[in-house]
Amino acid sequence: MSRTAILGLGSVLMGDDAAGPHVLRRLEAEYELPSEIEILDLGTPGPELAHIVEGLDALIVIDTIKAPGDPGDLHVLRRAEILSGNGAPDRLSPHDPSLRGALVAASLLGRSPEDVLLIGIVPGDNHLGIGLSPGVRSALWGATALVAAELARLGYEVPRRKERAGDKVWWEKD
Amino acid sequence: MAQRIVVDPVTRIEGHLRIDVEVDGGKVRNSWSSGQMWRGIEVILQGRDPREAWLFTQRICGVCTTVHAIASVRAVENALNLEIPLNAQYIRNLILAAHGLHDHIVHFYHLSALDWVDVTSALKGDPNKTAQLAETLSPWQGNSRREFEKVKNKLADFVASGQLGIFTNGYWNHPAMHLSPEVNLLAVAHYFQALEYQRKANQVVATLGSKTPNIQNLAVGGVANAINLDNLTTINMDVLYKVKDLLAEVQTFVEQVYVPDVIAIGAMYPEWLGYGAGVTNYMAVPDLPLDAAGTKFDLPGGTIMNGDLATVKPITHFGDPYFQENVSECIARAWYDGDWTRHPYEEETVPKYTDFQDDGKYSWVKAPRFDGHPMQVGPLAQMLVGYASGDQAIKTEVDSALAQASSIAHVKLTPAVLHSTLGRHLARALRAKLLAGLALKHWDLLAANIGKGDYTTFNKPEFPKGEQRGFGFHEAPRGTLSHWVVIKDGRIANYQAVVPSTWNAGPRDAKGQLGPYEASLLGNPVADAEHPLEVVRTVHSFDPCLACAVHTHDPQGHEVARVKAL
Repeated sequence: MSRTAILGLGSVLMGDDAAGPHVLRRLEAEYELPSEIEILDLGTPGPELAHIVEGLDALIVIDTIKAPGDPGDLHVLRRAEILSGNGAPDRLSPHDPSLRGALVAASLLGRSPEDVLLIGIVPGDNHLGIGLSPGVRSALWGATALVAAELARLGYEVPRRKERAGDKVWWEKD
Repeated sequence: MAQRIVVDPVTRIEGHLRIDVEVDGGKVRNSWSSGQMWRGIEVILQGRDPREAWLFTQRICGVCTTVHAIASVRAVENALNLEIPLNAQYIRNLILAAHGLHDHIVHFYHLSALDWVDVTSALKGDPNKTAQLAETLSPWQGNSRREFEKVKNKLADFVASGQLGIFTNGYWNHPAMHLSPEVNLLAVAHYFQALEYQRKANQVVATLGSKTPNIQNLAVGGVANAINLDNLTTINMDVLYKVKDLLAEVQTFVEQVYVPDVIAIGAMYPEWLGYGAGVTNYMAVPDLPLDAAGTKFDLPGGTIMNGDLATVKPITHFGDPYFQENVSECIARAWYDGDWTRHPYEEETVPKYTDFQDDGKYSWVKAPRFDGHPMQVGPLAQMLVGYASGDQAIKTEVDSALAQASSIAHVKLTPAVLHSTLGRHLARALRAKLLAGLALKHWDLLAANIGKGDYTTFNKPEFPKGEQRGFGFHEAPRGTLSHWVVIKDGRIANYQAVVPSTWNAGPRDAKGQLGPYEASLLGNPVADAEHPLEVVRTVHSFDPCLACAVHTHDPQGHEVARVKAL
């Protein structure tokens, strides 16, 4: 059976860095997702990102990205671009999730996913504090739609919910 | 002429550490350790429900999630004087031990071994000779000639494809690297095998914690795991045996690979038993509680001052006043408003950034002190405290490791050599061995308790009106971690986390006393100021939780080099 995972990366305590986890919540609120797809809010994982991606067939990652543009701009990268280091930062610390490092480590073991999509959101403010800046908040719908489109391309049926479920996240106060 | 080295990467989450060293005559003469990230978890926690604090604190850091979750629930339980059921204690202990094993294995093989092991030299290693050498060190079945050949070919492929990948940051052919090609090949083979075993340890955390990173099963008052041996969705016999099998496999790896590797590599760099001592005041807290209240433990805690084992003083239980009353933090040299030294319950976090001032404020990390003294924390502190207080298991491991290292190095090594860069690595490996055995012991305790018909995992917390204060400690992989909480009318009024890396990486204090990283670098050799591998070795031996950058400067303060130490 083919395995697909959707990963949200970023710290929910660091302003716009929470964009990835937010997109996961919104995805679940707007779409009926096949139960076999793994949806993981990973925070800011270190080396263990490697074994989370190991053995997957398809991987979708939503993360903030250091790239040109305004807060909320979206950048989409595929596996080859990520591995070439073109636009994807290398691992800078045991705390920094590096998709590239994780994919290289997984391929060392011959277990890297082939189908990889990174949806990068340009952050505004990612300093300590809870809450997204307006630019990033308004980009959530676009990023969510990109995830749904990728799932459709992978052959999944992802119908929109008739009634949108709540998308409140646990880390924001009422 | 003194040169200054700075290590300072810019990371995505701004959590990095900057080390500045002044080098003169091939040695480090002065050093500064600077955390570059503003922290203040209380800003986020004030006004929230104390039962939820652990969900937030485990997001402080992406690697040390579990440890901040556990310290948080222990702090709130301490404030409420709440005991937790034995099952909950054992399940937490299994998670903590497995997390520690994962962390120690990753630290040695994947985050620091390449400071000592030259990957490019491994390409010249003879698989036959490597297998012969390995046989003298360990009965490990993964040490065959075929295995070494396979690894050598894999490595050659990677080099040929220009994809050294995870190895690209190494210091190849550095004059301070001097292992034989065969030892390098052996270590690289174990680097790959360790990827598999650290994952097995983490699977234990994920199985019991429901998920990793960011476990889901904790609660103030116990754990949220239900135990029902007949129910597939709870902790049942299948789950328990899966955990036991994983732990047994990890134990074999630690005993037959990790410990022998550290002893052998350490014995081949005996000069590094003489560098890197720094602050020789040590502190560890007791952990792996054996009772509901946290008064008996399998791992010892206490303090040692000035490297004198005779000064050992125990920290004995959750809530121990010896710990509670002596911890403070000083901001005289950190970027906060004021120059106070305060108890964690009384702290506030008001940032006030200047620039990097050698003689003024230069870090976002506060300087924690114990009775006014800087303390080194981490596995070395725990092994020394255990050794000094006559812990039989620790004494046996330390003495046997030193005897083995002595026979390889052909010198008599005494416990005094542990105050060093390599001493920290050895202590961490021995702690991993103890953790592996203790994890299986706590598995037995859990199984026996369930066998008696006790399925309780949770005691409901009640929050009285008024103010309560509490602290929780945990001996995390990097050392003593404590969380401090003030609760008013059921809501959080103040919250502080005093973490291992602030004890070790903290700056000077009001009296000008250096922190452990800073002190450990003084006198370190630096053969090539532009490639300060030796500085990186000592900093890495602490298992820094942040990426770090080393900046080298000359006596006039001119920057000579800036390198990343990942």
